[in-house]
Amino acid sequence: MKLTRRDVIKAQAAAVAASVAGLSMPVQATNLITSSAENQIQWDKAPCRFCGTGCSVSVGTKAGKVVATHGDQLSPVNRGLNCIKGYFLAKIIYGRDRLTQPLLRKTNGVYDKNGEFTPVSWDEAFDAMAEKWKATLKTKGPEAIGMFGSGQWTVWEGYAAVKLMKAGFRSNNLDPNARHCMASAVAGFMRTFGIDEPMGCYDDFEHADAFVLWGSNMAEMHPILWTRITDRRLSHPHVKVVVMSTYQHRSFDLADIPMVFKSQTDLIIANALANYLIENDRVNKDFVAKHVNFRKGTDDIGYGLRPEHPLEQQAKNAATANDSESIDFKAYAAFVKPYTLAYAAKESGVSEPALRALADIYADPKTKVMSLWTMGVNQHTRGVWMNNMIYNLHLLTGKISAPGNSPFSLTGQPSACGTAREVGTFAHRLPADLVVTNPAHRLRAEKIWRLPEGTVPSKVGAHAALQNRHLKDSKINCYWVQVNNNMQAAANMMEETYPGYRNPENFIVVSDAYPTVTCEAADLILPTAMWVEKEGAYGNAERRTQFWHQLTQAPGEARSDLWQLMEFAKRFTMEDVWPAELLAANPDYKDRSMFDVLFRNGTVDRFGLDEVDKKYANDEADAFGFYVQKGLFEEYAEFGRGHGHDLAPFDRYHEERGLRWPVVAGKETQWRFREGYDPYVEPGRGVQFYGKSDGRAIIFALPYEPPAESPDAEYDLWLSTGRVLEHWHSGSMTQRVPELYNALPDALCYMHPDDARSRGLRRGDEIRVASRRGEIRTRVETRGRNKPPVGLIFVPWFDASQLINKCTLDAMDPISKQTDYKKCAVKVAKV
Amino acid sequence: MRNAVALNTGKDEEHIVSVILHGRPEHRLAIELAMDTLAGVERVVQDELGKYVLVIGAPTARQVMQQIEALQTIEGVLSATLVAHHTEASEYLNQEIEMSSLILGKADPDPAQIIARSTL
Repeated sequence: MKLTRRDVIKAQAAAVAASVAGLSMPVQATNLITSSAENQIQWDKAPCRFCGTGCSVSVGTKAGKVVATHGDQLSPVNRGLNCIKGYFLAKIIYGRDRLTQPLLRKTNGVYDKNGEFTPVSWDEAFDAMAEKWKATLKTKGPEAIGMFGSGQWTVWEGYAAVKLMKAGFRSNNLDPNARHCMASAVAGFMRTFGIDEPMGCYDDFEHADAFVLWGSNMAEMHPILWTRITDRRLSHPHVKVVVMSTYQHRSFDLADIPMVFKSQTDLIIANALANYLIENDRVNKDFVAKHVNFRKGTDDIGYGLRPEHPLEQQAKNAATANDSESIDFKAYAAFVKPYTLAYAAKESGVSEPALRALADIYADPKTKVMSLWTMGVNQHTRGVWMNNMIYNLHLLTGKISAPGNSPFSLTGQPSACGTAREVGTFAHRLPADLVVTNPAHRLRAEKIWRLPEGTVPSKVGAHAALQNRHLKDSKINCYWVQVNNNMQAAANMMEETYPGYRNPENFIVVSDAYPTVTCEAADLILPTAMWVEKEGAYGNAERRTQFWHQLTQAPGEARSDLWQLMEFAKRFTMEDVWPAELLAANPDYKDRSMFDVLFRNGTVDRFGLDEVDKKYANDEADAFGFYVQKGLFEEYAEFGRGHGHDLAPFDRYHEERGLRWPVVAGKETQWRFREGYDPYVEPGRGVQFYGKSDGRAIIFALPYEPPAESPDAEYDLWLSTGRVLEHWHSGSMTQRVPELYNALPDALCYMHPDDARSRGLRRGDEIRVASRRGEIRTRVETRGRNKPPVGLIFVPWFDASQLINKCTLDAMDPISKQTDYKKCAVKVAKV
Repeated sequence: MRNAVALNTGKDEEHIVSVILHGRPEHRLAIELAMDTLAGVERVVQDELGKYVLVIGAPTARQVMQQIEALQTIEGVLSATLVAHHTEASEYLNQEIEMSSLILGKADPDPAQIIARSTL
């Protein structure tokens, strides 16, 4: 029998898939499986670089290069599966236009805002940057310094950024791009439960009898989790899948109850379901009596636009959007009473029988239900309300914090939870749900950081959209963007984003692995190491913290964001950054560098190089002379240990495929707030929502309010933007992978055939999509994967040659400050 | 700089991927007929619930993607998920190997065990 290596590799690939699928291989095929020593590949684990699912990937390196990846069988998240983006993960590192040297805009050898990008050394780059930072601190103070980070930062990168900005520069103008993605979910959790992140976990997928998607195209955006739902649905015929959206997408293929509703009427549907539960006596009265309080939220809260905008002028309660008052069950029942199924059907366009079928899923005490949502709910001018209203349904029925009964907020980024939320890189936050406005919280941070009282400023910093407005208005003059492409991502680009970056008074620094439109708008570009070119940690949507080792070297002079943040700190003395009064009261901090005060504080630098695993490179440890990642992690972990956010010791995460916090006595927590699963629940309480001091979650009475902008006679179509399976966010990584680029090179305008016909358009025609704020050119698609109803178009935002955020409106949820990317008015015409 | 997306294409690479495909059980016959017409797509194993393990081999990654796209558009197919992939020079893959270097004689070894050992 003659065999080639090809035969063997095919058999190995098939065996991996069969094992994942739970199928047995034919005998003759298993005979061909050889050990991987044959291929001289070293295999290590790493979480995927892309979405918030947190799949673990086996990464194969050969001669210092990543040559293969496959789903990690030992991962409880993906169980060996990989989506198309994860499959090509190895290739994101090797795009030919990787940035390998700092680039500064220069004319005739000196910095010039209108100059050409010119290669410079790291020294020259940091000198130029530090000069601007110091001058700005002197003339305008710390509030003129800003930073925009990411849910793609590793845990320690985000943590180092928090320290650098909030304690070092003493500016809370630090926000992550998770503001665009998860802020409404965060505010929803804080309002309802008083503690962030889901109570359930992915194990709910195998326990639930029904899945309700409230605004998520999981088939494309969370394909691995969708596979788990598909598996559950196909192997258990009683299971029902409900898919709700403002347009039909790939997730509808599995839907037993498909629903396309009119934009913004999800608020009406949610209240109608609550009313149905009450009117049909399906409220779990015992659960509600023991575990729930009722409050009525403030209404007429505006849209987070600039204060002079007519909509903000009209809004009565924009300044007190997050307020609420105590009510009782009777008042809540009266509040939702007008929201009948018939009314909801009329307003939403969904049939009454379909709404009743959905209501019965929540109403039936024997049906375990998992509600799932992402951007359809979060990117919503009433996104916090929608989060609260989904929790209302689970709290009214007691279907929460138990296997299969799970309101589950999915995340978009690999560490939106781990870095943006848990570390607290938001403008109002500190680690472990602490906030800058609370004096006790600031004091706790200062104590852990070994800094004097009064170091951390109390004023909430500028959030994402406000940072752009402040750049335009010259209120922020020094700005550093890391690990994201916000020129492409932020709404209303031409009016609110681009002007601030090119404002002559501002100096903009962008750290990235690849040139993006944000780099193009910058003054200094810093080349960044990515993914397995550094040691890292991410936290996924089910509270799972995962680590990886550095497996390969970054190209050229590219350095990790962590190195950049810490090295830049060396350029400042405390006299440069802190006011004289603070130093006079605390003379021990005089004549020291900011690097020493923040990172050589006796905590961060306490683990030596001897603790670094010799098998792996660690460029940051080598550069700074101590185990930087371990020191930062252990200091950070002090915030949460004993406070419901416990993390395991550092080294354990290198052994595990992640652990879900709180990790108490070495054991992770699958379902929070439920006795028997969560060690923080006091014995005998059964369920305890301990984020609230009385242990009770809150059901909110919240009304329907209209969107900020709706179609009219001239701008006659809804525009919804979003993502696609093949590309991740702005495509800066996935567009470098030939297979993904070729699979979907250009964005398209998905449109109903009737809308195309009435405008004289045919599939493939070039069109202009225009709003009151800007326009793009694209092409019509009437038969693609997304099928909008009449009156709505969908345009994805990954394509830098078609910047759809020129058209979108920077209206946001006034509580979470998260932009609504799903609703504005546009018109479409043939070019 | 805009649109200057640079692609790194390997010329002599060959691609082998494995795929798990879920189809609606009631469409099984039609799905199998359709997938058997696709070049380079081999059915390895399947169950009665519509779950299949496939291997795809192709000279370019683009052709692999086209076959996966084709699989996904077959009526009744709910998902086609990539699991493992291998990219190597054709010259290397064409090399013949000795049977003695292979694991032989076990009637039905658990692939999970083998892979767990080899990937760690």
